[in-house]
Amino acid sequence: MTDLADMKRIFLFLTAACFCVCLFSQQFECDCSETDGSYNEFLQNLLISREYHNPIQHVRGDQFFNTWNPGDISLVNGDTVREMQLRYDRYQDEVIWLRQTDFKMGVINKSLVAGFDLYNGDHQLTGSFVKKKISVPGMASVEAYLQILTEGHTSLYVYRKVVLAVSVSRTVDNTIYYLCTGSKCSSVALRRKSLLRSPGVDKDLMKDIIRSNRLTLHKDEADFTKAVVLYNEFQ
Amino acid sequence: MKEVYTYHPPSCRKIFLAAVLAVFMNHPMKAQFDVKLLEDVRMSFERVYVHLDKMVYGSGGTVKYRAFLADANSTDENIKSSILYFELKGTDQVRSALWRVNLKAGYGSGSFVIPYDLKSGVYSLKVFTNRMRNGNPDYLFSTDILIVNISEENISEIPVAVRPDEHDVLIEFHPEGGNLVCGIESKVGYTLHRTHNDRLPVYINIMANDSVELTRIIPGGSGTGWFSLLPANGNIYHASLFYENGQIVNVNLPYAEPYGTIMQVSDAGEGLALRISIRNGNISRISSMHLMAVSRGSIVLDSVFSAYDGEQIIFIPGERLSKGVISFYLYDSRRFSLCRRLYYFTGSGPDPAIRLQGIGKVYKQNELVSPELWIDGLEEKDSVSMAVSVSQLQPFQHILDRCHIDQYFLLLSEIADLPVPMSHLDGIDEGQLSDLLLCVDTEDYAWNYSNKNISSGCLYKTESNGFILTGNVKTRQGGEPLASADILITVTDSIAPRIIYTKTDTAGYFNTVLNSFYDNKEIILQVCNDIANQDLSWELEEKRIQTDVQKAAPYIFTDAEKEYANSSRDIRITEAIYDSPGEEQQRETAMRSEMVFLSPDAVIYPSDFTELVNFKEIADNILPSVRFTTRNRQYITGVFNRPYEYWLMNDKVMLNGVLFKDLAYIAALGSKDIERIEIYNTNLLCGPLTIPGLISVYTYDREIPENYLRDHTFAFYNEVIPGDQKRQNLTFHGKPYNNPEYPDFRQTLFWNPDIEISGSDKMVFEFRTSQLRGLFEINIQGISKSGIPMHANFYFRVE
Repeated sequence: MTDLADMKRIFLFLTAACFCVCLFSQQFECDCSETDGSYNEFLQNLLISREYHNPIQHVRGDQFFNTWNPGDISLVNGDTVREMQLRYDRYQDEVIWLRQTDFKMGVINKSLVAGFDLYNGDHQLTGSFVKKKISVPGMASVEAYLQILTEGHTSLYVYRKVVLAVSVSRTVDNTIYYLCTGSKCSSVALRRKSLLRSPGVDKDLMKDIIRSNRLTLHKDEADFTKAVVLYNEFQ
Repeated sequence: MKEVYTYHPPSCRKIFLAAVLAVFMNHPMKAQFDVKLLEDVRMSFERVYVHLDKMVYGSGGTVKYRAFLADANSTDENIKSSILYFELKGTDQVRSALWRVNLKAGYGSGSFVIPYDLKSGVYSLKVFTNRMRNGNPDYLFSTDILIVNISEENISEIPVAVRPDEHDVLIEFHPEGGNLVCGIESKVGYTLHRTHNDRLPVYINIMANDSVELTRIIPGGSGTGWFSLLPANGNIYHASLFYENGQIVNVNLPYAEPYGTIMQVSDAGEGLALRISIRNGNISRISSMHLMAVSRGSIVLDSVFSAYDGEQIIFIPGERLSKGVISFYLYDSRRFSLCRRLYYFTGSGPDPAIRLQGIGKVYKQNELVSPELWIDGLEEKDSVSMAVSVSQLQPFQHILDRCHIDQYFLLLSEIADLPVPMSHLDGIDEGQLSDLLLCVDTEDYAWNYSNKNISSGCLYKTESNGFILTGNVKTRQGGEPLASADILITVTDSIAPRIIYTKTDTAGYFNTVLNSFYDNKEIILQVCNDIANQDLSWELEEKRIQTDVQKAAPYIFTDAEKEYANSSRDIRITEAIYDSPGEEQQRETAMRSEMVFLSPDAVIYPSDFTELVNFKEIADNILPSVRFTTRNRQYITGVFNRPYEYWLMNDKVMLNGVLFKDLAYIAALGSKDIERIEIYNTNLLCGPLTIPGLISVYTYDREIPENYLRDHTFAFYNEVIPGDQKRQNLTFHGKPYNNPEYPDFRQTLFWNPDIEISGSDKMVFEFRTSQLRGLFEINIQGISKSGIPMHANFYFRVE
């Protein structure tokens, strides 16, 4: 009994000693280039936002792109505000910020935002959005958040819009894809013919890519994206 | 049962053994040494060098500067600080002026004006970033300038700082490696201190046992040097200093230890040879030794070798070392320091050099000079950024400390306490620097380097994104810290309100970052909580450098110095008369676009409506969904929130961009006073604060009542001296150059802080001499993209 008790005492002492050594070592772990943390806090405090109000609160459907996820917001002035809890409202095309101190939600001022990234719990990117001026059928050109599917010589973006179907009291998917070459963007449908007819696309090369990779483009976002990715590789 | 008690469960044993192992593997000595040394080298060595257009200024004169900010540990890409501070102090060490400038990727140039009220004297200009304040102030860039007050007549003497008389002894000895060891021949550095009547001994005899003369030394002007000594067991050594007047002073050498280690470093052609001599005497159980070499903040050698009596030679190839001071540390297997040695490595090949062609020795007054500038030996891909000044040579070299960029980056930023003044370094050959370093007290140096230099850790952060505003709020009565208070920072603005939120900690401290939008604006701080500002005491942290107080003594000018100082004053007065304001300084554009506040839900211009005499009438008649009423005899505003259909009541408004609590003042404003009113009809989330609706009022006069600012806020002016815009034409020839009617007594004939030359390119710059006669200096300081600092000085006479 005595031996065991002594051993425990020694063990506790050594553990404490070890802890002290670690603690001592950590005193020197500080790095002077630590302004990022405080600057991020400064930026978070600078992002004054209106409190979020959901105009279609009790309507069914996929109004939101995600549940609350950690995310970074890239501002138009080049700064990046990190580690915010974000959610993308597809109906209002707004990115919403959750204030964790009181769980109030604010709409991030779109005029400040260049884009935003959303991550899952393992900090893997689940969606990267960029603000772009697009022409929506039936509307004048608007600034909207487009999800980046691929970027390169030819880029593919998707506007994950939902609209309200009042009669059935639910949101309906109204996603629009945009294929951009340089600064010119045009909407494209998830169909082979639509892709081949898109301005700036080398029809023969694209046909070869679709055929040789056996891509099914019809309503298949993954294959459609893959076709553009492979097309970019040949550019 | 007995067996149960004595039985140690395997898991317990394993934990016990693991714990013992863990503790011994993390032996405190080892942890301390490793961590400290690693911290030394890991920390970025941000260093700044500043080139000034000249060294003598009249009060009210303009100092033109070019700052080179570099990381001695790495390339320019690591430079993060974007703000530089200039602190000018007189001999009384009371701050005379502090300027703040913005840098762009390590580059900064511009000018600042010396206050008119500075007395004539030698001033020390220290230049630093916020991050550099963590280190030893001795390692910061510092240069002396002479300021001549234009209101003082016939200046014949000035106060100069005198070094405290720390040395009672006339000579100090620095045995190589720290100790004299019997039976091992080593170099012994010496530093002579001048007597009160400024004398050095004519010669020095090194004597053994009072009778045997071992060697005789004739000291040079710098008062430093070395001699070889092989101490024998039982001998006592001393130096006899023989003065011109026949006086002889005897000083003992350090005691020769019977056992010890000496490390000698010598140039071995393509690298360095370290001769490590050990006299172990079998009394120590040292079996191995640890050798570490640190060059410009990086470990370049880290090796372990076995320790035995005798000599060992270790060769370090030159390609592993960079030019500059190398610190060699020798530790035993228990990590106890055995010896240290500093060495100046001159590099493994020829350095690029600044060349100037087409510069004569003598010029006439008002003659055009067109020298051609290029860099000899620069790699084709490399380029050098330089600052060039051409100014009259001043006669105060011996009282004004100045160094060149390569001396600073390679030597002085590493060794602040060289035994000779900077002005003496000018003529010293690079090869002699290692002998000079022998005279640096390595014990003191190591202490400074590893402790004092990083003693405050990271108290002051890198200002990479803007000015770090740190302050403290206390109650005026009792001095209690105001803990967890919400602080809003605003500026008077005519476009939109801008709010920065920050919070005090338990000690009442707050900090935030002000980006360049807030430069040169009055910053208004106020506590959101209902506490009157009169009850609070605010204190903002000054970016101060702690320096030792130095004694001042009068210095009487020689005739030449007197003439120069007084003519500088006259020239400055002439300049002031013919000065045309606003020629050079341009306002700096913001480094980044500022954050825009939310666009309002409604904007009302009262002038569009019939005249209304007060705010109540305005709210009732022309502001949609706004109430302005009284509750408990206090004014309050209400904004109707349509989605939730309720009134958002608020007892504050924004007045000209500033959060304003005095609604009685607002109540008195009518259409004649108010230019526009903006309405935000939702809750606004600002950091952790929720602002329930907001009315933002802009008056025609854009004023905030003085008494409100005094009673409810704390305000300060966030002054930044605008710098030059890079890549614009920065050449300065002096104002009278283009106007023949002006008297032309320019002391600075040419100044360009931003000349860039790549590879084998050449450039011609031209300037015209003034009517001043005398010796002029072309001073060029630069640093290459690859990190090589270089300087060149050329002289000519104007007759």
